[in-house]
Amino acid sequence: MSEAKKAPEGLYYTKEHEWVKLEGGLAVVGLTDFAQDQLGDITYVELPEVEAEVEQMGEMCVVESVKTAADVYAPLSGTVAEVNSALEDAPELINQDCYGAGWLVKLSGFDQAELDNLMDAGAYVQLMTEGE
Amino acid sequence: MTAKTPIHDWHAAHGGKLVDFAGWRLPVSYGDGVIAEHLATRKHGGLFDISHMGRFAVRGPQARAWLASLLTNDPGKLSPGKAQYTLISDPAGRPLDDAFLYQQKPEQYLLVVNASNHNKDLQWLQQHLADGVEFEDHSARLAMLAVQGPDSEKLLAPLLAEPLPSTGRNHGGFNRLGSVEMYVSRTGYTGEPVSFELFLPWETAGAVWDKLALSGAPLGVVPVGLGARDTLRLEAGLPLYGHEYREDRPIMAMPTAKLGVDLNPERGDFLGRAALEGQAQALASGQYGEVPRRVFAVAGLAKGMMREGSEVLAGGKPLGELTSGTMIPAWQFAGGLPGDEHYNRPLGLALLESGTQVGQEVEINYRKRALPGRVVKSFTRPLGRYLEPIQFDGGAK
Repeated sequence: MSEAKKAPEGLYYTKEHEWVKLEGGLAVVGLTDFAQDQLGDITYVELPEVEAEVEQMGEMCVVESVKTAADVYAPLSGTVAEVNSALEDAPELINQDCYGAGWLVKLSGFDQAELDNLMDAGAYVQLMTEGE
Repeated sequence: MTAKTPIHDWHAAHGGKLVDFAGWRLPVSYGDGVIAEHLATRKHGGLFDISHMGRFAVRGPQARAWLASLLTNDPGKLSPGKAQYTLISDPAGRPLDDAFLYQQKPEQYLLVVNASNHNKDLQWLQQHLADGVEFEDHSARLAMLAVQGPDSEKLLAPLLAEPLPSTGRNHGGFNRLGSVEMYVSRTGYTGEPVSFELFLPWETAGAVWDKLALSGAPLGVVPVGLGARDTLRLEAGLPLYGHEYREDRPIMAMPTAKLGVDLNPERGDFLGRAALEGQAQALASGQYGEVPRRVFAVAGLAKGMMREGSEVLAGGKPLGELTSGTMIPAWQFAGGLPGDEHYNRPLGLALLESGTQVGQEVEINYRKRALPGRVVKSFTRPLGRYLEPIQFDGGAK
């Protein structure tokens, strides 16, 4: 779990295995490497509607793998500004590049103060290591 | 305690995600994942280690008569080098298992059963043994590999010493790869028009697999795990024991049972016959009695998901539920060939009221969503050496 690829520095993490990256005023959200590995082959993503309002740690979308379905929670309260529509035809992007091309949504209008409820890479890796 | 096939170490060394399945350590998928393996099988071909399946050798002057008394299909229709789909029925017409019977020589057969039912089948068959029959469990002596897909012939033909079995469903013959003696059959569980299964001595299977993997790679023929084995059979509309067939469900509730049940009066009695005739009559009468629900293919018509257990409704009225279902990838075909683009679609098999008609528009409830769907005849059709996905128009709004 110590490799940078598994939980890059500079991102914020939830204990439910979402990551957040602040980029150009938006919060980019995705699933961590740990999450995609646990889910196995991802075959479908039910993305939220653009302009949907989400609450911190409220349900945001659903990811389906060959094995199971997983709720994805919004790491921050805000408005869905953009969804990764490439996932509709290529959900496997999450398995292949969970911190890059496999991002899920971009949130706008979020509250910076809520970032305090999230973990940095070190704390997230620590949590994953304890869970093993 | 889990057993290892002769290919186990290769799976582990080549990125196989190993899981326990019916007492065996087998890969769900390799590095590229289930979707890639499914698509590769449909476009080029897939290699499958199916050594976990149960293999029983049946020999002797009474072998055929004995098999005919215990199996739902008629082994009298076989000849050496032919195989047939069949089932093992209990007296009430419920399946102990579905199976494939290969006649290799005049008095020599192989019966291949599901790994999950291996011990149950073994006990059942031993309990019903008859004189003049030599019955042995060869599961640990014979390995079994499958090569399935449009280029599987291109892969196998140059490697084998003898010509491939003549084209035609379920044909087989003895053959040799290097010094390894094997039996090669045009059979499989993927729906592929070009497909082979190899039966070979356990201790030789590792080296043969290596050769197939090496020679297959330049053709795009890749190793395939249990995950894509399941999506391939589902897309082909093939049943899986424990899902479509169950020991508490009439055999004739599964439409493919027709291919494996022979009720011709001339073949004589066999275990379960009377019950199966009752089921067949119930279906033919349109009253359905003891077969109130049977299995249909259900295609999702929008973006969405379905899984085993999802409820199926027509106009708000419950029709039944899915016995298998998931998202299945498919190639866009153009000019009779798979192209470079693929899409995913939700497909399932469902146990629905027996009077349901193909073409019925349905809703499939999955989690908080109702997915529009349709009862269809099949999801695919053979197109030359390919299996082409049938595309379905959008459902009623």
